[in-house]
Amino acid sequence: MTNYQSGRVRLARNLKTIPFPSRMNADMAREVIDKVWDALSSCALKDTLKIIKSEDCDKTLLASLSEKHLISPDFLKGTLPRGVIISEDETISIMINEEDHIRIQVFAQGSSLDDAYDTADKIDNLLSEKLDIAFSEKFGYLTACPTNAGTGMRASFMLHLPALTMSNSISSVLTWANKLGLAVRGIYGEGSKAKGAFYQLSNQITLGATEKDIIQRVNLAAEELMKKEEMVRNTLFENNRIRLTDKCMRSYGILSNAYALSSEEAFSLTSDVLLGISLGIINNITTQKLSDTLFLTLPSSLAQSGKLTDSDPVTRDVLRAQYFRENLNMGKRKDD
Amino acid sequence: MMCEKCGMNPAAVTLTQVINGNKTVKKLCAACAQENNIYKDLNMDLGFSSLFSSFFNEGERLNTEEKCPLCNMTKGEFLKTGKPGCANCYEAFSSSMMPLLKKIHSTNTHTGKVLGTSGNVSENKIDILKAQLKEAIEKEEYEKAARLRDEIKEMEGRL
Repeated sequence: MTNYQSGRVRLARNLKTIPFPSRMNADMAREVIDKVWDALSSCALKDTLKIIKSEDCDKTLLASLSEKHLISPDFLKGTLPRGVIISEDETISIMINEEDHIRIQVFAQGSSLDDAYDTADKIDNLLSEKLDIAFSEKFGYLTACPTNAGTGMRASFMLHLPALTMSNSISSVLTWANKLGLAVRGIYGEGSKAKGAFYQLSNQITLGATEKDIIQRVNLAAEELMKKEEMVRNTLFENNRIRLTDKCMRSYGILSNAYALSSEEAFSLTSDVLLGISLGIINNITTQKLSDTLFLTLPSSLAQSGKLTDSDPVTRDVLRAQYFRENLNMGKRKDD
Repeated sequence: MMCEKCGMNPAAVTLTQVINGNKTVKKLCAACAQENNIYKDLNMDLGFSSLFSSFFNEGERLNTEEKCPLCNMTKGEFLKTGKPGCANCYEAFSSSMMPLLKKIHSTNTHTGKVLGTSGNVSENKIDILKAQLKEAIEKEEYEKAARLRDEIKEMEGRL
């Protein structure tokens, strides 16, 4: 999930006769949770699924699910009973009572969203067999926000675009994406302020296009953006070999030696080191290992680790730096 | 001067707090200041929750007392936020919903997956037309059959 290029398909669905979460009470919310879980009880997938209910679980567990993108930040807010159904391998998550009654999310394994959509579609069919899903011939699937109506589908890719960011090309990327009916926004940051050049590409329009069209458009745009990123990356490197090498190595130096690292700093340094790996400047750690380390050091992953002695942010920053030192220097020793 | 809280970054913000008449002054770095949430007051409500309300024309602002029979949302409430209270609101306020969807998506007609089927709208329409064609042939209504055949051909061409 923390891989620098990972995709996701989300379908929003609602029950016909129960008000949307914004207008329902706790009893209705519990009813929806039970109905959805029951609807999946006889399917073949059932044994690989587990349900986590907000009323019966710890806040830090939910926060760590949010950092893994298995639930959204909005899921954490509010007082309504919520639930999330997660598959063993964490590639499927079904949020209940977030903005919509049901949000089916499937994470893509490769560089295409086709398989993820097929899985989401199958789960949707399973639920539709047992539940009274809100659908109108004219407007399609009816959602709590009209911006999701129609297919109810959001198809997205998480992309790491350091060269496009460094060369100030992100604004033209935004304009380009907009023209294609797609949106690009920063992730792991407040609003559009991207931390460490990580972005999310997704479709903006959900009505008037078929699921296939949308998936294809997002697939193509992600491919195109990665191509452009690589092109700019190579040009930047050719023209600024020394400065770019220095930047990546410095970031690597800080990341592998610092005694305290804030989350924001870790993002930006990791972004530089990922760039260094892709350019062949840094080769004693893999992209996967680095992404995993970044994930382990997100605030609530640290809280979940049981290694925090207190909730002081400084303690957290020290522990985060320790993780990076251990993981980055471990690779070094192996290679030496 | 270094931050009085973490002692690691230069102080950038002066935090003055008056609690029960006791005034305290602290010099903090930007990160610690943010954790102290001193910028909280700047979180003004810019009214984005009612963003869609500006999408509605005056003509659509009639009969604001009308209610959705399922969730009791009034048309007035719906117009304020542009967000329906339940699935039935789409039908109950369809005269306002149609132009709203058109403004958001540039269209208000669904062409994707159809509930209870595996296909999308046009594939489903073709299936229906094919069934009608079969029926027309059985009933020997050849004129109707020819019209249906052309319609199917045209739709398949568009797929």
